[in-house]
Amino acid sequence: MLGILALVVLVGMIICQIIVAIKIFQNDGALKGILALICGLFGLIWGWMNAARLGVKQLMLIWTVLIIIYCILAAMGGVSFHLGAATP
Amino acid sequence: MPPAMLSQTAFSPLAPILRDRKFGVVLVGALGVQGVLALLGLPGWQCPFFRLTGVPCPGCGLTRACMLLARGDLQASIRFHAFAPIFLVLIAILIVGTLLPRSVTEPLINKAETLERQTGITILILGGLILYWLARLLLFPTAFAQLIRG
Repeated sequence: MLGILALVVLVGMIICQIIVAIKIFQNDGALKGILALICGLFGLIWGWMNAARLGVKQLMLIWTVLIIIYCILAAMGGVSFHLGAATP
Repeated sequence: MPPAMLSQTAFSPLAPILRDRKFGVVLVGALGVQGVLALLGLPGWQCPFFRLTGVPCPGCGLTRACMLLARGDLQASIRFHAFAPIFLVLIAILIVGTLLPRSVTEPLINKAETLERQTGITILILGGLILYWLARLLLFPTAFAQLIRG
């Protein structure tokens, strides 16, 4: 059950990252957009620091909450589809 | 951002990042935390794309490669990610740009901006990163995924 929940959260995280990357792509140029797509950490920080200008405040909030939920689920051991330590 | 301003910064993204000191401090801090967590063997920022699909993204392995390079293990670092030396230099530039006073960094940032515009170096690096990722993915898919899985 926790594994399925973690999977849903993960899909949500990826969708948020892609939407934020598209917003950065449209507003700040292709290269920063690609960087946000490749490096989620960059997208998360850039997104938060420019949330008002990009109009992604709510999306950033959702993305951050999803990351926190995923971390909690991972800590609880509910990530049964764990593929290994994939540190970027 | 106005279109004219966008066209000025679109192909020289490093200079505006270096100019935004607040962003630089947060990014350097986050990268530092990521580095410390990786050193301690604790889970840091995880790649959601790899977690979900099992397919590594272009940036997968970069943290470990940079950590290995920082420890002096060039061979192992390159095996993980060939772009680690470039990213380590970029991180060093970011740290210097963030920590030094504005009067010192501004001329350097201006030079970096000119270099970016004249050579298109950032486009080349990002393009190369994508090509490198595609080559690993298409030529050694299993070995690549296993290497990232650890």
